[in-house]
Amino acid sequence: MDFLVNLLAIWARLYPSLVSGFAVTISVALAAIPLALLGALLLTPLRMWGGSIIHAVTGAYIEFMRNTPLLLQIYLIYFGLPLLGLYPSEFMCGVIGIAMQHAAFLAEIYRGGIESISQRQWDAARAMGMTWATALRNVILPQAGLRILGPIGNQLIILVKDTSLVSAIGVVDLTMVGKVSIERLAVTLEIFLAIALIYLALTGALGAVLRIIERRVLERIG
Amino acid sequence: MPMIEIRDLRKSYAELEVLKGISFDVEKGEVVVVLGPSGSGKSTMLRCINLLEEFQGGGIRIDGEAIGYTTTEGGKRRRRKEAENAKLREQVGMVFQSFNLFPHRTVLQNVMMGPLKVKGIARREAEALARDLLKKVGLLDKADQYPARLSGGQQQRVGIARALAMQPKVMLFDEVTSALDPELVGEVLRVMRQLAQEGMTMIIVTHEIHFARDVGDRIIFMDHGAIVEEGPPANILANPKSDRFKQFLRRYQGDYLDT
Repeated sequence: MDFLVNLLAIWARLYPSLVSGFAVTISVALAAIPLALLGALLLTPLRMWGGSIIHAVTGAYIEFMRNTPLLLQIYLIYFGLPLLGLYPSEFMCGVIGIAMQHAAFLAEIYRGGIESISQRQWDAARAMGMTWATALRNVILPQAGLRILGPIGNQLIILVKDTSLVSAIGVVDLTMVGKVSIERLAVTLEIFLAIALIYLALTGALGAVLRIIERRVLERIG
Repeated sequence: MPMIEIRDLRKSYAELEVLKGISFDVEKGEVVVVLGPSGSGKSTMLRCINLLEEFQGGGIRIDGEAIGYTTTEGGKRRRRKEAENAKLREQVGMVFQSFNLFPHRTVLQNVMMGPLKVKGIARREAEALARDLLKKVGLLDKADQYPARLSGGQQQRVGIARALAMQPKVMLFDEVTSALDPELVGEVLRVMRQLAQEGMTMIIVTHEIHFARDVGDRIIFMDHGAIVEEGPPANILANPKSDRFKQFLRRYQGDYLDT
């Protein structure tokens, strides 16, 4: 009982800074999600149909991004860009790093979706006189899109959780608020619990929205 | 001029030659049935006719137009442009063993898609055409269903309507009843028989020997990538000359006698 009273007291005290941290976390996610989705949209056709050199370059990019830690990538951007004479804010560095890695994962999801559509669908489309592009647009992509809704949703949930890494370069997001508060109040568990619950609510809400979208779209097909 | 003209058609996968110089003509309104054991190259030959398969030698003409490749005066073989080949494919309807309907579209949308997206005709017109064709194959009441809700026989009839929607000069049927339960075969063959009677030019790859005799104007028997025998059904089925054709007929004799 004491623990609970104590917990609520700490949470009440933290409330204003948690709200501002939450706002920053949401902002990072909302900036990174469209960038990642669009970046992948750019990568996928280059990877799949770009010719051997472009194929190799995009392949190397995707492998690098997928196989090195996001934290390291964010550091590379944050400490690397100034060497090129660019000084984006910490917030921007975080958003770019997250978007670049998740674009690589999403590009693989897009590609997997397109490749999962049977050659027979291509045959049927082309047999009626569709060009490659018309078949892709009207027959292949709509089916691929339906198939990858779930995997995209998963990836976006991972992205939201990954926003916590921007705290490492000093962005005052939810995780950073937690770290600072721990030092200020000299309590740990209560604060981590609060932060974890907020992330859970956020990803839970995102997951629910994605599931509704998926169900709406899929129930038409039966 | 024949509607379909195939001359010395050759195709190989690396070392393996799967079509070893196929030649035959199909006249306008003629129904040619191609028989042959699995692996004889009959489906591959059919797929070459609308260039779903590339071929390395010989030529195919539909209504006088060269499919896939042209030969320059110097005798050099050149692949035609993608857009030209797509244009040529419009004139050749194809129906597949595995139906290959578009699962994300309703029956009506499946049939409308070609006229709408390839020919670019107005939606209202495309829909009227599609409904006509669905009526013809007896599936107007299924117009708003998705393909997954239909039986195999129904899906295949939609496949036929979808191909007809492009108003092709020629229809190709690639073992269209092989994936169907026996009791569903009849409804598909009925539609094909009706098409034949209406004067459609057709090449039908099948194992239905009874249907071949009834509907075919001519039967071609293929084996190992070559034509072994051809002739009018009554003749050729009654007096097969080669051992291979005799053997083939014996294997399918059951079907032949039953139906």
